[in-house]
Amino acid sequence: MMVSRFRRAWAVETARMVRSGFAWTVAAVPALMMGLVPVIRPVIRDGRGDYDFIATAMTATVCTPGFLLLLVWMAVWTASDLADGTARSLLIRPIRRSDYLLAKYAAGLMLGTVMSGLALVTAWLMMWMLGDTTGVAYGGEVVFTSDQLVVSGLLAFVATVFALWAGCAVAVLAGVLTRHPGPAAVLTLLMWLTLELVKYPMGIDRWVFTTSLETAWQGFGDLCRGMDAPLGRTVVRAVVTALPVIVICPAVAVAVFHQRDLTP
Amino acid sequence: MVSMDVCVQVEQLRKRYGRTEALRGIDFEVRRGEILGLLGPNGAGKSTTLGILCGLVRPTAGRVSVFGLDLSRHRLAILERTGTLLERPSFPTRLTVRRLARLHARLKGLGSESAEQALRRAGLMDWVAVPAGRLSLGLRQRLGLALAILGEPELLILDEPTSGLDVESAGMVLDFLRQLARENGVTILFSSHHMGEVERLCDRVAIIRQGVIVSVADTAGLLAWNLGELEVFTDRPEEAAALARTLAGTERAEVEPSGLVRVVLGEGGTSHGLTRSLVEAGFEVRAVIPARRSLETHFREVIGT
Amino acid sequence: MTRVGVGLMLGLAGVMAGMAEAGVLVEVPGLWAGFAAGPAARVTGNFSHADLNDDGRADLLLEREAWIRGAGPGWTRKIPLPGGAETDAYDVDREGVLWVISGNRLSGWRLAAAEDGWEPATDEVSVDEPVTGREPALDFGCARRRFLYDLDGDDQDDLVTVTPRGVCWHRRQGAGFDAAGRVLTPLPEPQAVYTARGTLWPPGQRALCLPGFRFSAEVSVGADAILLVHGEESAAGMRWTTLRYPIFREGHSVKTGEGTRDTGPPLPPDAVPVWLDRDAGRPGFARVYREPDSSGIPGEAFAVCEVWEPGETSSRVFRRPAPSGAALYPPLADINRDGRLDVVLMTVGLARRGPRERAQELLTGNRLQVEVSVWFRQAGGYPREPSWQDNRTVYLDAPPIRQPRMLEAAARGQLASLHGDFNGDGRADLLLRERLDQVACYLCDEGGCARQPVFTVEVSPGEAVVPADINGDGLADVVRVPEPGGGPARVYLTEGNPQ
Repeated sequence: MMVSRFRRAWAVETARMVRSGFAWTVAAVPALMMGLVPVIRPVIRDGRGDYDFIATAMTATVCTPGFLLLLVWMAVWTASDLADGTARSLLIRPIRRSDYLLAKYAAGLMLGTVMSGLALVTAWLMMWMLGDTTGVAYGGEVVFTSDQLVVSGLLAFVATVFALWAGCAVAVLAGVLTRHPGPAAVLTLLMWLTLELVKYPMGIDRWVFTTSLETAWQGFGDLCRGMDAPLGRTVVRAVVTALPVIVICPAVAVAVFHQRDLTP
Repeated sequence: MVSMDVCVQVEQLRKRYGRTEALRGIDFEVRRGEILGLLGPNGAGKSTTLGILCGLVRPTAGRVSVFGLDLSRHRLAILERTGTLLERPSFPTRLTVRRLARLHARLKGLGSESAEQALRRAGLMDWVAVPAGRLSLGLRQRLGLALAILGEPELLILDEPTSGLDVESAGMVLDFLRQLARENGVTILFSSHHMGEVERLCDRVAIIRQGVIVSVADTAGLLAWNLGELEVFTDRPEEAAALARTLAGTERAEVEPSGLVRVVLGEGGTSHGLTRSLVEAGFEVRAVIPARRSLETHFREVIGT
Repeated sequence: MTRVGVGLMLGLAGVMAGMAEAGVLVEVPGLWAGFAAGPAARVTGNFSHADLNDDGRADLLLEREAWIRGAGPGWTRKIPLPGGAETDAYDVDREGVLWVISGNRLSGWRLAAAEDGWEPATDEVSVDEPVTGREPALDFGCARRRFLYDLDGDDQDDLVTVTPRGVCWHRRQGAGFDAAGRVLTPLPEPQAVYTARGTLWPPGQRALCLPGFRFSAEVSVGADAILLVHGEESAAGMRWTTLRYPIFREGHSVKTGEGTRDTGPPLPPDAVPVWLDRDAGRPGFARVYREPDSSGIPGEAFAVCEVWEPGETSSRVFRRPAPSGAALYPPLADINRDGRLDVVLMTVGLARRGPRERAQELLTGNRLQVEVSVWFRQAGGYPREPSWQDNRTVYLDAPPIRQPRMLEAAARGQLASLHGDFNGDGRADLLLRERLDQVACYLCDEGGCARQPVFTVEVSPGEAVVPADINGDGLADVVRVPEPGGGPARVYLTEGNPQ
């Protein structure tokens, strides 16, 4: 029964998300931005593999603009329900507050995955159509085959997705804490900015999930340039740093939301 | 122990918001199949009470049981059997009426047929393809009502159900609610500002003031004829009132702005005697009607205004 | 780490001038010292050891001074060297006689009994410029072309001179030398200049390198052969020729056999000869450069060391990320003292994480990553993968955007060194400037370096710290070299094995 209630709530939130223009914007913007990436990293058929175009493209589109768009959307979407009474309208039905909030969060995770997947596919297509999909050779020797690069690219994608999910978790918490879209967006961005500003001085950068966003694609890019890069370790670190946030932030959000009076 | 006849029982319910005590220990019950109106001025605690009953607000103290179940422990089971309409409900603007109904039906574990039926009963079939954001206030209210009756709940909790509706639509809603209660045995608890609605619809009315229930009474009893007070329609009301004051059985007589003469009879006074005196005095007595108490009167007496 | 007996040290030692433009204050900590590395050649190239007072311990010969070892680990006296002309060269023979080589004139000196000056050990002798051999078309300048070496195996150091006519040998005769001498090998025809001697050259070879204006060659004199290596520009690249003249000894006479000529394939003009194996008959070649990164991130690059085996046209490339702005560290060194040059890529920079992370780290970060990758040379080549890799963190005194002094040290290649063997196990140890005021030493073995430092020492911000065996005991010592005009340098002498 618990699972079915959550599934019902998730179906509702997904149906709402699919009809949200802002959500479609979040999903599409990174893929659309791909068109600009060849300006900084040209893709041409010259017999040399262009897999590092994907690294550059994902870094330029998903790791910062896509990530921030997703965060803002998640925070605004959460807070606006609380501000305009939609949450009240839904919570007079037999669903738990946790079902509702976690369903919203799950929809956000789905959006993040779709966004980055769409961007990755677009980048891959561009490489395939405009460039070379051969492996990496250096000094006349094949260092990495095309298949190996595909696997590595997917690993980097996994790391990115986990970091995006962790970002959504922070945004949900911000949305619940502020209850209004504008402050929610501002709080989310402030939290992100603060984290980014302090993580290096405090020496905690390796333990912050946002670091994994670009690191994973940098590792993939290094592989594409014939360098050995600890991509596996990076992916593990991405998962390990993101998981606590993915679990704790929504749990705190649910706890806060649970105690709140939903008055008009 | 909750009687089987009681659908909702509220005991010593308190709610504090910071330093403000919105509810200061209210007690009331709603019997099965009855319509209980919750009446009170703004800020009395009506919405807070209903908010607690549908789980949106957490009480500070007290106990609420619905269908014999403790609300704090069985909220979801209660909501499965309850329909709620909030004041000025808010809906996702891009979803159509039909889509919304289906999603809410799904939240209650119901199929799309239930959604269609509810929309039909609420008279919304002409607007099923319209996005909720484009509905008028009245239509949104009807949509909220449709969602509240999804799955034929046993209990309806309605906060200002006719808010924003025109007279005709409001009348339709009230008739519909009455029909639900009478024919389907649905228990209804609703709050309203409108005395007329409460008079017309409710079996009982509870008046709440500053977080306290100050009166719970049968509506019928409140609205009974008062034979000790007469409303006289005659020509020359001032003179008629003056004459009435001279009669032994008259306690007082006043002319109201509408021109009718209100005569309160004292000991030994009768309407027959008054009428005869006026006629004999040459007044053209058009009607002598016993006064009827109104809810508004009772409300003012209880609230103290 | 504590300094033992500071007061006593200051009483023992005095300020000494002459090392790398600065003086040296000898401090004897009794413990190990650590330091950051600088270009080792700068300090290690201008001193040598010799037992001048026959006490069985090495004394120190600087450019213009001799430091005489005292009873303790330090030196008690400094004595200006005899001679003193700018062009004078010095060498010490196996009998402890200091020879001043002034052009064609040599004079031998011994330390006075009181160790406060020099006494002539020989009369001044003169050697002639050889007249045999090819008439040189051009004159050339050279860094050091006269040195003592027992070429005929009679346990007496002869004089070897490289002249425009060829490599000349003046046999030792009593207190002097055969004035006429004999030209053993001709020199090649004047050819194009190749790049000046850099940090690719391992220290310790008894070789001359003659970077010159119009003529350049390397002359290596060993027990069995005289080798000359010179380059010639061609349209296809630089072609290097090795001339090998075997040495034959007939009684006290030294002759060279027929020279063999080996001309290698054309190579890039910036590839220079290196002796990949100590006893190799031919040099290999190597170059080090920075290769731009295609990632588009400003400042990202690779440090590349490219090595050609003797006679090969294809090279082996070693590549590690190395942001621009930091120096390229000397990539070839015999780390495990097996007579083979190992490839060492030491790179310093921010972690490779992407453009936004890079920007944040530039603005707010306080660390740099030091990566050391070592490929031990084996018979015939290098392994595919590094033999070991080490990653360390050094701490900045301010975010990179504010140009902290640690970045200056990185730009000068002074953050890490893998050239000094501190515990005498035959393997170089890692010296790391972990922060602006602290240097640490990590002992290394075949598998890598220890995670905990064996010692640390405080340093001043502007100082460079260099490993060098100052007292000739076979263990690397520490030299803190200040900025120019920054006062005396400090030497920390190592004693014993820290483990």
